[in-house]
Amino acid sequence: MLGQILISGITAGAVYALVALGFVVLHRGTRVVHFGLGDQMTMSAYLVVIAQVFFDAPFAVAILISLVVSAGFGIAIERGVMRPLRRAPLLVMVIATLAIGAALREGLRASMGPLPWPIPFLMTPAPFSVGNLVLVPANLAVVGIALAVMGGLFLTLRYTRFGRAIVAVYENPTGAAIVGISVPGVHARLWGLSSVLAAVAGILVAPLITLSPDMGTIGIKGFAAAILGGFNSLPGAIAGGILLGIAETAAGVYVSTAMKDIISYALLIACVLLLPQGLFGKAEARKV
Amino acid sequence: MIVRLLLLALAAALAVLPFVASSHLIFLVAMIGSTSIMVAGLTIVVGFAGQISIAQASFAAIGAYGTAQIASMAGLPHWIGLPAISLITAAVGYLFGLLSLRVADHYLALATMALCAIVQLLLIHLEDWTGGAVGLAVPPLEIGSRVMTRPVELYAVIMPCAGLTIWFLHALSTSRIGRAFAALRMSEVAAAAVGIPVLHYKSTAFALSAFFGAFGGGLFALLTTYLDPAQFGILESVRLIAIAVIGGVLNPFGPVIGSAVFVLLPETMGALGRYMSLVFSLLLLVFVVVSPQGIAGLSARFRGLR
Amino acid sequence: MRAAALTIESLSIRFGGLVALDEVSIDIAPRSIHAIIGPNGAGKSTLVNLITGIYAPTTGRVMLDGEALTGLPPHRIAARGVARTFQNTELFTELSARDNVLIGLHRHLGYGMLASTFRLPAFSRAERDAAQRAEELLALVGLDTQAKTMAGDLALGQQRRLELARALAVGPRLLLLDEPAAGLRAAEAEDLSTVLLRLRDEIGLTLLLIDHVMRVVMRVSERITVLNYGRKLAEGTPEEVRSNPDVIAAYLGGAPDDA
Repeated sequence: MLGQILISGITAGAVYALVALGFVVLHRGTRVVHFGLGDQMTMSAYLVVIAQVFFDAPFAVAILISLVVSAGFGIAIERGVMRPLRRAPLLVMVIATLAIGAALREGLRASMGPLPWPIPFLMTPAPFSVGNLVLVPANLAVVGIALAVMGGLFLTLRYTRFGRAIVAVYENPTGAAIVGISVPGVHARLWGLSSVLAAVAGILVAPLITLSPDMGTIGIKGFAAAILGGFNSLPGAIAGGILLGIAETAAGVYVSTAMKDIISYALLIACVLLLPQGLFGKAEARKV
Repeated sequence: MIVRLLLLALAAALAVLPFVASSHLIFLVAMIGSTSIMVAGLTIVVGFAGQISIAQASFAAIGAYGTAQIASMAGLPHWIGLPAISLITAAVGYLFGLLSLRVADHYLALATMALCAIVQLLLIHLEDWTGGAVGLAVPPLEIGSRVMTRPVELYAVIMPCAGLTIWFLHALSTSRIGRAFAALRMSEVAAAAVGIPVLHYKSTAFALSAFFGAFGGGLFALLTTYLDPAQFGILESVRLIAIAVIGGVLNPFGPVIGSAVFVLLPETMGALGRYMSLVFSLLLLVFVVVSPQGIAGLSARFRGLR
Repeated sequence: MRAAALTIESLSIRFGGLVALDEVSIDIAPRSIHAIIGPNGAGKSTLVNLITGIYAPTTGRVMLDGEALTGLPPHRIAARGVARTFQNTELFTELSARDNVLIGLHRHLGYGMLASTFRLPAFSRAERDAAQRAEELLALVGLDTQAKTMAGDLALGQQRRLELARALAVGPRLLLLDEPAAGLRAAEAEDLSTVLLRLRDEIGLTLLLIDHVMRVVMRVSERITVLNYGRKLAEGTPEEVRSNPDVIAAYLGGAPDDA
């Protein structure tokens, strides 16, 4: 039983971790929390379906198109919405990102219909056994791809100019600007990067739950995972995601599936109110 | 002076409307009225006090389901039940405020979102109390021996309530409490330094938003006569924020202007009505970026003021 | 309100590994002007934030006329009669100068939502009195012509004066001023000195002044405490402090900033 919970939990957790990374990557560099990130996940999944169904693109190409368009979407948001708002109070930015999410959701509902769309599985749904544990290829695929993406992210941040510019802005925006790094340019890239992370998460998770305009609600869980991990920490986001996935699956098994979501959200409120720095982060104080 | 004349004209128009307009139009205007009351709560907490709240639909839900079930199960008529449940919801709002308003911005947004999600899930799962996903019929409004089900009768109840709500917003914004809210919005540190109890006032703003959310929700329930948990989720909370912002989040008339746009726009869109929500979300985005004071703020902008 | 005596007893605070204040004790007599000076990072603003309740000390306490302030939240400390100005002015920038002062008067207005919603006499009376008091305070600091100007649109010197008016509106017994003279021209600094002396003499306040501008500090203070690396380095009259070799050494061997 425990092993089974771990398998399902880690699979869900891998998705949450990707979304959490999307939040944290963006927030660390731009101090913006993108409340519409979950809805970008939905958009990216739908883009795969649209490319396949309406443009007859093969699966791999459809995914590529989705990733590129998603990145472009993120960059467009940064240019068109965030840059004009860069001096606005946080409240205004929260509302702006909420509006983006709502617009995506309603746009998809209006153009694609409110009912779920079928999205092909990456692999066969046929289960197989390892020892006395039952696995589905999707478990491996999701976790594997998520790991690959996370690895790619860390390598990018460490070893590419693109990534090092981002880290420089994380640590010292003024210093970065002085040495000639374009901070708005990095912001645009962060939005692109975050959108790609959400896109991957969306494409991975859509076959497992249903692809409907409201799929984006899962974004809240990613946000919760990010907070659990100490909001500004990338490894924390991953840890938070996995923990949340496991805790949620366990709740679903030991309590009830109906209560599973309620427990998730209640845990989230508790974490936000009692432990805003998460499990791994530091509390921030403002200097007066 | 001009403002007073305009207000008088508006009041006169509203008084005359039931005699000249179709039942459908009266229903729509009543809907504008009840939505305005729900949104007025957000004008107080998001506009005046500058705190994010994505839980307004939940307060509306408590008011709507509450007044319906109090009438069904306890036999108390709506004109007792609705004020009562609104006051209870205000207390809940205050308590939630005490807990959650220590954290700001993103964390508060998340806490209120989570609250909204939990309330909606409870509405779906506590079937004995709420009718579950199938929904709940709302008993009609009874005053004395008179059963009021026609739009024009509900209109006669709702519009004065909406008027009083707008008056309350105006009175609040010109009182020391409204000024304290503004202080909180601009600098909590300075507000505390002049003796304003920050957490108490933020929680009070939250309580007021809960009160008007519930009251408006109850009136909404009377109009629509059937409640469905799907009407009270995070998306609906965001929609109410959109109405508040588009109308003008610092202006007492903002809720009315925003609600009018929200209720009347689909009527003008005809077959394209299914794009209504998309258009509204985009409107919100445009206003946030271009004119954060909403429509009410546009006239000030044209006059070259702030 | 009677001017208060402030007693700081063995106050210490650490932020993580950094000891910002180390067992600092200062006695401030009522109706006096006491200044705190020291090199940057000496802990002066931290001290103000500790007194006003923004930070809680690791050890030690602060007493106002014998009653403990430590442990109280900032708004309670303000209610006890402690008002302050900020190093980076924390004005309500989108409100008028008049509204900023009116908010300072908040606690004195005393009416509740019931009175304001129904426009009861208590409300009208309180608002009238407040409007008058606000006018007086603005005139006191020379901003009566700017009453309707938005605080964010005022010049720096005017903003400083507005913060002072707002602090006075609270009706304090003790006034803490955090670098009020920074960035002011010589004439403005002179005006500030005059105002501070008047506040002590005519209104009868106790003033705790933090600043670098020695012209002002030396002119108005009766006693000066010098902090360095979070510890008290010297204390005494302006003459005593000015000629103290440790103080001179702390300011890097030169005369303190005479801007």
